[in-house]
Amino acid sequence: MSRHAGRPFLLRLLLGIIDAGRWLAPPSRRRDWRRQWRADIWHEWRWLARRRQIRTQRSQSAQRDIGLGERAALLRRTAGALRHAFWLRVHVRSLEMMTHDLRYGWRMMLRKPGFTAAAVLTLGLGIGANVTMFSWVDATLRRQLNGVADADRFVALNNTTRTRDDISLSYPDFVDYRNRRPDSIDDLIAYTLAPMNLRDNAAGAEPLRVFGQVVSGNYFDVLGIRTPLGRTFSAGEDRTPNAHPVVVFSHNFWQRRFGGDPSVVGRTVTLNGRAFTVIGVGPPGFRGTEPFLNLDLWVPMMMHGAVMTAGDRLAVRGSHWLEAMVKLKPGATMARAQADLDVLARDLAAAYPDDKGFGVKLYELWRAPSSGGARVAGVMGVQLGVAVIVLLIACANVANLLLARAASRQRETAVRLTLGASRTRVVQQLLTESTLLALAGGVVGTALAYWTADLIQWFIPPAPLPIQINPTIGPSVLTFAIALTSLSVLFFGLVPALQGSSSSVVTALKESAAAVTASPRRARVRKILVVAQVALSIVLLVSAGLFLRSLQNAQALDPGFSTRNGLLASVDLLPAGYDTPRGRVFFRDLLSRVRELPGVEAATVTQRMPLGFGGTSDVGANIDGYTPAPNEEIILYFNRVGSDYLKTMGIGVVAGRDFTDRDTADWSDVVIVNETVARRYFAGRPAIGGHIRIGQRSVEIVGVARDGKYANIMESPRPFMYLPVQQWFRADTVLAVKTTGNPTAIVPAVQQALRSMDTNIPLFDIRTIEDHLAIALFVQRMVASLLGGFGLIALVLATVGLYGVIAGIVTQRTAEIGMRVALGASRGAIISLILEQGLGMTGLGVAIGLAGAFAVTRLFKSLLLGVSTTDLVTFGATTALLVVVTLAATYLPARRAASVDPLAALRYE
Amino acid sequence: MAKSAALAFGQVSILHAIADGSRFGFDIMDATGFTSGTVYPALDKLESLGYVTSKWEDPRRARRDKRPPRRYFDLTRAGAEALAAALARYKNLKPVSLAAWRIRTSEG
Repeated sequence: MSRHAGRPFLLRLLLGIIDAGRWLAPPSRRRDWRRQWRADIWHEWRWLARRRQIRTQRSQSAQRDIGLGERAALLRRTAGALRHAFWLRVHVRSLEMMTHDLRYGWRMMLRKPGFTAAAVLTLGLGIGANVTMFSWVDATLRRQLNGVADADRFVALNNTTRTRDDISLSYPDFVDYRNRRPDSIDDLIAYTLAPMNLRDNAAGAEPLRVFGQVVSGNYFDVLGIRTPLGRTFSAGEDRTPNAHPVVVFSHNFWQRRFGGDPSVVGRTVTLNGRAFTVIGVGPPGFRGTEPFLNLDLWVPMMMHGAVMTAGDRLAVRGSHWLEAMVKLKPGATMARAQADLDVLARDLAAAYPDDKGFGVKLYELWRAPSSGGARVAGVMGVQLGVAVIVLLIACANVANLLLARAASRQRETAVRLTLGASRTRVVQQLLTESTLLALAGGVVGTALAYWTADLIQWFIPPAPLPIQINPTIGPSVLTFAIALTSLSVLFFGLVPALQGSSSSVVTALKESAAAVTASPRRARVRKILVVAQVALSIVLLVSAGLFLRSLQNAQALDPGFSTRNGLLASVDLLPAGYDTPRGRVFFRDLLSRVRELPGVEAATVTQRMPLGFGGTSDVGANIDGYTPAPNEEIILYFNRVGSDYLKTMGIGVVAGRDFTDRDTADWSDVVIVNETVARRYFAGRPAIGGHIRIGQRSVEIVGVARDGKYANIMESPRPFMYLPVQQWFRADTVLAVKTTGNPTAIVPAVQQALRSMDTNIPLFDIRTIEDHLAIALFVQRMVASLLGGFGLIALVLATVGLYGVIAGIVTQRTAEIGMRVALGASRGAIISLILEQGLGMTGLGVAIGLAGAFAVTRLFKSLLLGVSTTDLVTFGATTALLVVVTLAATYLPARRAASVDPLAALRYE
Repeated sequence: MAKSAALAFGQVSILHAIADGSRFGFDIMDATGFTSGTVYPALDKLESLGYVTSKWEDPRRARRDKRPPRRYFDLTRAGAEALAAALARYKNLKPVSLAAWRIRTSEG
């Protein structure tokens, strides 16, 4: 004390600053901070004083005290102490976590490898499922413009009317929008998908079905696409219609079909019968602007007449056939561009009669009408939602594991708390360990997603289009994985951390471990977690069960045609330049040639296969002898088919006959109707010989066919008619062949037959009828397998969780059980005691889960076939499955409990 | 841990000062010219990174000298290595002529 008395004022002030400032420092560092600063200031003062003393002695100067400048510097440096204190407050957490907690957490993970593996794998599964789903969302919705610079500045542009908002643009309108584009818009491009037939003249090989785009001349420039080989379209090639037949190949197509041969640039290929010069090859990665499609080539807009069929549309303002994209100026918002375009649209509507009533609407690419609108987003949303449920279950599981471990670490925590560690500090430590687990789980999950991301290929519909979706684990997916991992820490780590650090654990020091671990509150949390897991699993499993049942029903359904030994292949005469008369002859000859092939039982052509993509056509009609009720409109669905259609497709003839080769354009107009038409419109009179009026034409019914499914497998019977393709000609058809043996075996012979007639026509989209039917069941199968997979994961996780909790309970109650056994409880009584505990939790979880499932399954009522959303069998079977599985999970620990040696158990106390 | 990450110039200066014999906060401030609000946090940070260790003087000896015990710093092996690596990097910066900017690099 005496030391302090003689201190100069300034030193006392400085030390006082430190004393007061210590409250700024974080509690854990307060004492050291104060000690350090006081000591350093004290020593500095003494050093300054001594130096001054020496100098004074040496120079004999009068000034004996520390100089003013030195005092100011010392004051400034002391003020820096406060900054240091502040800094510590902000950083102490990371400082301490970085060093101590991490090292400690790492050691804990290594010390309990079983626990660590279980937790990491569980989290990995949950995170992996989510990362996979997100990579799909990323691939389908976010990365639509692969390889395009500034992809986020592109939005889709559609025309609108009062009732529709998904209409394509006409070319003159596109040009006007482009020429008069407002400040908010950098540029516009227009394009349309065009399937074509390509012949490589040099190779003289089979003609190929290719998918290209007809694009505006500025397409590549606006998208910022440079060709590594050759060039893109010049300005001149965008000016004169039909004058410059040039084509740019996609990198993928060039590699696939030309083996990456650079000499392809300058070569001539035939597209739909017209010679085109290859002027360039696109960069790798750029696949065009059709969502999900991997395009083969691009042709300038001015050449659309050569590769498309509907005649010259460049000057027709009323012809809406182009998709368009707007590239916004940097910094311009979509709303601004929309407002600007609205003004323009009003101008055009006022100037041109064809534009009257038309508006425009901009869409973000992911919900543009051309990419399936928000429908794909909806499916993806459901999938992501399901994955989130799986992650929640996984988190509940790991939380349970952590709680169980916290019980066994009670003493350690209690000692730390008693020795003065703050609760925050202990929570921090426990959370650090959770973070380590989550990080490991995130790594495992992301690694898993590398493998599972490609499973999306299972879910791509078997459509006759070059659909390609390549999910990659890129930066955005990794960011998502990291965010998810951090979020999951809160879900599974927070509750155990708070519980494990509660002050009640200090009592652990006073009591036996067994008594404390049975702490009712912790046990309750663990039970709640298990109940939640069971409930969530029930929801997933019931949903999966409903879809499985629905899939079963769908597979058992009679589509109305035979699926055995059928071969389908598409033929399109339009690109080859056939007119209607030549086309009729061609199909007649083709069918007679195919029918002569060995192994062919029957053959026909059809405009479209039932239950395919693209639905059905329908037409308003009148039926002679049937008076419609007021306001009744007779709508008949129809298909155009060739001779022997019913025979080839195995559709029963109820009355009359099938089409024959004599049902030609020169003969009287005929039609075959289905039973529904006969029943509904010819009640009490024969349908055969009846007449249907379609537009100006009257057709005579020559046959009645059995009802079938036409647009989708779930539909109820609808009135349907078959029109002879020779009388209602269509050039794009499907060739259907019924064979005696393996249908694919005759493909070469069919190809040969076609080639012998015209070498420019490719046979494409070759498949069996069974393959084709997979389309009909596509949605059912996809949802069922997805939900089924996730449901199984959920079941396994919930079972493991329940097992862990029951096993924990048995350990905790060992003493009590020992006592019971000592007092004469039978083995069976002990087992049922434990089983009751498990069944109690399961029962509650099942009850909650069933209620949840009841609410959730309503949402996809429209997707289910022949199954009620409250299907008793599914709900019952799921419940039974869960009860059986959980019983098994409970029985194992129960048996262990029953074999407890009472003496050992009591001594254990 | 990211020990291979390049150290900031300030951190290098502080390591250098410690290696040069400065052991206490105020000495390091004098040696580097940094303010206390920079040096003390940096020391804590370097310690958490494992480049520096700190010890308290033996309190008995301090009491004998009638002064408070001080916290002093020393380089760890990792710190010495990091300092060597950083100095080697700075050595790559050859003197350049800045005459065009009318800046004289020499003393004066």
